[in-house]
Amino acid sequence: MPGPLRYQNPELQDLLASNYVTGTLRGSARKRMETLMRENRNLRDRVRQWEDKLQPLHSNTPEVAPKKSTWDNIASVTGVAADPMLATLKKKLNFYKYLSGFAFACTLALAVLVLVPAAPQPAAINYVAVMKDDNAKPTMVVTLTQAGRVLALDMLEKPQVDQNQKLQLWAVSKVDGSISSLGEISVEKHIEKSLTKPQWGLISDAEYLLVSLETSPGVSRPSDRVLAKGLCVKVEGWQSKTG
Amino acid sequence: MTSGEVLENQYTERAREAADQLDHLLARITLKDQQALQQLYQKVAGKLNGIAMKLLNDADLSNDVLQETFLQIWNNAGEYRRDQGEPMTWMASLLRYRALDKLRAEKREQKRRNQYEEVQSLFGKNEVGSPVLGILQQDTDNKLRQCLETLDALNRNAILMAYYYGYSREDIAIHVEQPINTVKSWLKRGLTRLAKCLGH
Repeated sequence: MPGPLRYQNPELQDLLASNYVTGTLRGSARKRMETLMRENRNLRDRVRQWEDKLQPLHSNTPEVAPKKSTWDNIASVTGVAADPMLATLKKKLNFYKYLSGFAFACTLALAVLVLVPAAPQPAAINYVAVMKDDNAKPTMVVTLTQAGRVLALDMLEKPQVDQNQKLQLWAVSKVDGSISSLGEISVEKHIEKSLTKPQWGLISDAEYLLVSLETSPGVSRPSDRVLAKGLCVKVEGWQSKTG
Repeated sequence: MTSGEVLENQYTERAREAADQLDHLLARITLKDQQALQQLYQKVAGKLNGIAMKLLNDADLSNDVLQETFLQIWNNAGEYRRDQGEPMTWMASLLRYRALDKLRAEKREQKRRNQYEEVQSLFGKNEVGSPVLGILQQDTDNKLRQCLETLDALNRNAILMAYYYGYSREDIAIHVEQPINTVKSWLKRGLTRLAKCLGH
């Protein structure tokens, strides 16, 4: 059987996967297996099955406290404050970061109020999220109005989205960090959509909102391609004038 | 419902809640939430380090592997998908594969004599217990345990030495004083029967 076809054999796949997971596949054979796994989804699935089936062997494995330096090293690379005093300082700095985000949102909303001619009986905005990209550049603004549960999204810059890709909006809970979808959004300068009652609940519970780029529909959590992210700030008495 | 079933349900519920918490933390780490990384570390670092210690039998190396694994989690948490496995399984697998690479890089496979006593307990040569024996002896409802029990002892022990203690085929052959081809046959036969029993 030729090479690639040979690896379609379920028995061979299972044997390779079991040897890979138990660790008896070593050296160049292990590297070859990793190359094959990248190309062969069935092989990857079999490896996951074996990982899952053998994991209970670790249920009684005793914990061993790591050295303090291990976390310190991780913290220094990832930017997490390793020292409690630094953590406190960071919290205080975070407050100012949030404050500056809030101030930016206020400025933006005021600019909108001043520059756009008044419309009759505008609804009051309840939440604002100024969404920024990786370089902290604002690229989208989301405003939420409780009357009618309206979500409006303005794109300050339209992102590059391929034909097979979709944008999806998410809310990240400030209570437990869970991430919930608020649905797909189209690439347009201004979008408005009505939220359901449960979705409005997600907004009032949100610490921040984010927009991700997805290739599969109906995913339960965002991919790692987050295009924009912003704190969801509660505001009172603002008037919606965008659109 | 019997009291045993009630206890089992409570255990399953607790395990699911714990997995949900880890899943949420991984989702936040995808968004580069540093506090989530710290919380995850507090929850699982001891366990992961314990697994690394079994494989590497060396505190410095296991801490190195733990550190590398956490940096990998920080950079690749977005690759984790709950529908493809539990969060702890994903993290333990990342760690195990790094540890296996480290074993090869450090050429430590012949330097584990002081671990032999624990491994020998698998073969019933003495009374020293091990966490794996704990699984085999106590966790009677565990499907994996039931399937391992059906295997020939030599086949089963070769699998456990490889998976749990990080022995290569050559290491096992040295330890049990058998030709390497015999060890390969044990592993192949044992893993094939285990797969059938587990219903792959």
